[in-house]
Amino acid sequence: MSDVIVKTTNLTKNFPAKKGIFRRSNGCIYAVHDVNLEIPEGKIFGLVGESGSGKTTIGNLLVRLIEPTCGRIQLNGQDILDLKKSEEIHFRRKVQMIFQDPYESLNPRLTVYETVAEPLIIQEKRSMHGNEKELLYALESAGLTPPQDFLYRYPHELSGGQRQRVAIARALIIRPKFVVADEPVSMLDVSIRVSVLNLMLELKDNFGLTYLFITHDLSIARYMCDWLIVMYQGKIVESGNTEEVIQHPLHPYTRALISAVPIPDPMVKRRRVELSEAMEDTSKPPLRCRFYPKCETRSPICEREYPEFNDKGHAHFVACHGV
Amino acid sequence: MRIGTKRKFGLAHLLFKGISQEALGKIGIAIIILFGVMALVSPFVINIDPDVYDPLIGVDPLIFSSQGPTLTHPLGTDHLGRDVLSQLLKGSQIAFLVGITVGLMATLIGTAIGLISGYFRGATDSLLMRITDIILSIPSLPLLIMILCVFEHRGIWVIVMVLGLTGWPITARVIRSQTLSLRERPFVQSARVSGASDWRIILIHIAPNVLPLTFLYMTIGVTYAILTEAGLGFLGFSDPTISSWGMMLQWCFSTGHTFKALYWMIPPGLSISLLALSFYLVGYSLEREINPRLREP
Amino acid sequence: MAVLELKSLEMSYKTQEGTVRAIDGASLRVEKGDTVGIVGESGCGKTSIGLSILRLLPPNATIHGGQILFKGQNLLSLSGKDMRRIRWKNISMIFQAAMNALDPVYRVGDQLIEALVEHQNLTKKQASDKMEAVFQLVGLDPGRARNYPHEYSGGMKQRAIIAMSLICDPDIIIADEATTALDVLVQDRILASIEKIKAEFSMTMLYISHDIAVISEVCNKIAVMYAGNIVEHGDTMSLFKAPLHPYTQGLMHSFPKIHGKLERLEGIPGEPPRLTDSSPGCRFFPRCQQSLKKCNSIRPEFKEIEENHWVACHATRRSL
Repeated sequence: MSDVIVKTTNLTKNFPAKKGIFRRSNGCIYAVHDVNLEIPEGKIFGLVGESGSGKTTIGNLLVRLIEPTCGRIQLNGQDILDLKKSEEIHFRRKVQMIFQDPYESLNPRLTVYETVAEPLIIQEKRSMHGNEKELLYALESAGLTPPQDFLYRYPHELSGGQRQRVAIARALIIRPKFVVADEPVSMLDVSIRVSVLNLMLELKDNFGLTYLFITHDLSIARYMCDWLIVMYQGKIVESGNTEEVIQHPLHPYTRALISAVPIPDPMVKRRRVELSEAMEDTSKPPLRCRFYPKCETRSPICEREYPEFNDKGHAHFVACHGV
Repeated sequence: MRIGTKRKFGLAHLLFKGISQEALGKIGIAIIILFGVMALVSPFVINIDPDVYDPLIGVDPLIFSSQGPTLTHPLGTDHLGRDVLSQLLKGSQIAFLVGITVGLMATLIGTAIGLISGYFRGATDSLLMRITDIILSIPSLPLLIMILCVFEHRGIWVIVMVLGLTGWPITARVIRSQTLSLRERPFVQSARVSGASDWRIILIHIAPNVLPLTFLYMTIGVTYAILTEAGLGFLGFSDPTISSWGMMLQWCFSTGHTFKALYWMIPPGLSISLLALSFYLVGYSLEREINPRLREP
Repeated sequence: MAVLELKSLEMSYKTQEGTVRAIDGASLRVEKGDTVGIVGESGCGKTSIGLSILRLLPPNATIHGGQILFKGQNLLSLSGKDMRRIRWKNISMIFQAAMNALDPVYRVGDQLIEALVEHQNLTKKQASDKMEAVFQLVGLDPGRARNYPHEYSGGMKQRAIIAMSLICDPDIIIADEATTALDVLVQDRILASIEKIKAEFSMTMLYISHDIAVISEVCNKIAVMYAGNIVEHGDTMSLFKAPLHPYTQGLMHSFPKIHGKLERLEGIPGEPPRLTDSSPGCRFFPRCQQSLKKCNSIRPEFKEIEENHWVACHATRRSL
């Protein structure tokens, strides 16, 4: 097994819940609760779940866009939460992020050159000029050919797919080790999604990257990821090898999720798992299983305590009393 | 190496496009140019014969009271026999001086305060916004008169300073709210992930995106300055050693010529309205380009 | 007679960048009891078709050719008043932004009742009974009828919108990305409801979506749109078994599968064209890997190649 590049211990993030016209703080939303991850180097690590599952929050925590309420994050064995200012810049060099919306993730007033060169300018204290060599290489690697045609264009002159490639070139230019990709293709047209996904696979090998791939789309997760983590309301419910999790899901939530994916084949009739629409209130701490109100196989113990995260063999972990 | 398409998303391009697309914007620009020319020819008119045409001390030796238009005085003279036209030309110089300086000062201060307040939030934001609220909540004209009364010698620069230092709150508010939304945008987060410092984010990523809005508020600031200076002049609180348009109206009014000498009253009054209107028109046509909600679908 | 028929419909938007030919000669028949899916990427004109049928286009749009026949009557020649009568009562719609389609200051149930009283001249009591029946049909608890929209979850709002569209027993429902913004579990429940409604009432639907998987589950006929043209139209089975247009074939290879063998996908090279550019040839030509010489200069005709299977492609015709 390869080395662990990113490790989190009891990672927790609560957001204050503000209500009423005076925005009084009352309680909080448990967005991510007690999450332990070990992301192996050189793999694509998938994080799947519905909206509100906390998957984007984890992504933002790992690149330190937000600070956790408690818990630890380690990168290559080094704790990244209590870095000094001077060390932080080294951390920023190793970790990059690709955002969901390519129409929003590029500054509309900067040219492609200025956008892609920015990490170099910040990290290596370079001047704005004279970075053409690196830039052309990064743009070409991101599939923008011929690259010199793109250098002085503005985002509004590019299509969605081209913008996302520019964002990828920007993320790669300082040769990071670990890239968080938050729904990188969900805003793109269907016919160009695959090419961006294939590009990301290629770049992983060429640049020796490790991805945290966040998505709500299980089919895309299956296409991309080596490992899969399924999240539900801020908790990990299942994790394991992607094929293992998708072919033999153990947690009732994962089973429901997989059964709900429409199949583009009129010959196949899918079996539906009917779930109740009841939801656990995320402003309560997870004392019982989060999935309890929806679960069909629940038993009294599920209401009393939160299930342990157990190995069911083949490195397939699941947090459910019923399995 | 081949260079791709040239910049065409620059601010100048945007401003030009915004103004030139609207007929009203073109009218505004035309009026501004007209007054600009008037300001520029002012020294030449005075130089014809400073003893006669100086707006303040030049007195026609043949005239001792306000007289209607003649060949030597196309707009007539005031009660002391001074030339109205040369006063009007000098007045447009002053209007530009006051308008542009105050507009610049107020927008610079307002933009800086708005950016800092919106970006850093927290205690800084609360403090700056409470100051803004205080200035906004006091009626501006009485406040200005109060401040001006403190100064014994009210030079035009004192007025410019006072107007500039009190004219920024609305700009600050608007820029702050824009900054609040910009700072959460993914491209700002992307910069943060790359290790950009707060000041880099403010200057490179946020400021250029609020700049069009800044320009819009500057045109409004200029309008405000011209009208307020004229108002103060008319009330007698402006610099008495300068023939600003407000001052001209004040002289006309205080000597009882208001509706008896239209040749004296109408030119400064009309000039004030037109120049203020022209900056307003420019701002109005800019807004359509800047504010996407006003653009047609 | 077809419930709805489009005959070489042409529509364009005037924008700052020029004229956008959003629909460039689209023909389509929807028979009673059919669910026809329109699938295509963003900007291909599929939403514009829905809006054209309802005549809810923005002011910068003009329809400058073709006909929209509803039960043999051309909707384009109707007055605004007559069109308003047909909308909702005969042709109803489910839009993507479901959250905004409900009036936030009225109870959800009351909004349905009002529509009934207005359009079908029912008494309050009859309307209320019918409202409850429709609530049950779409899987909503009639007890929640007295709630306001903000008390509903996203899925419930979407159900309420479907209830709204059903309430006047329309002849056809136009659904535009009806489940797109929803989470996959919620989407699944909504799709189940739609299928149930279709089965019970043999509802006629025009289902617009970018998701070919959803379309394949809901629809018995599919029209594939690309850059303002319908490029292929046929029943779902034959279209999936043997897609004829290169774009349809590419689209089928653009979706990763959740079951079955995991294979590398190729997608479609290139990018969709800008609709402001006009070229005499096939719009798909720049991305097509099976193109012929004439494809760049002559627009292929939309022809019936097999029974009930229409394609607009030069290459297909030659291979047959």
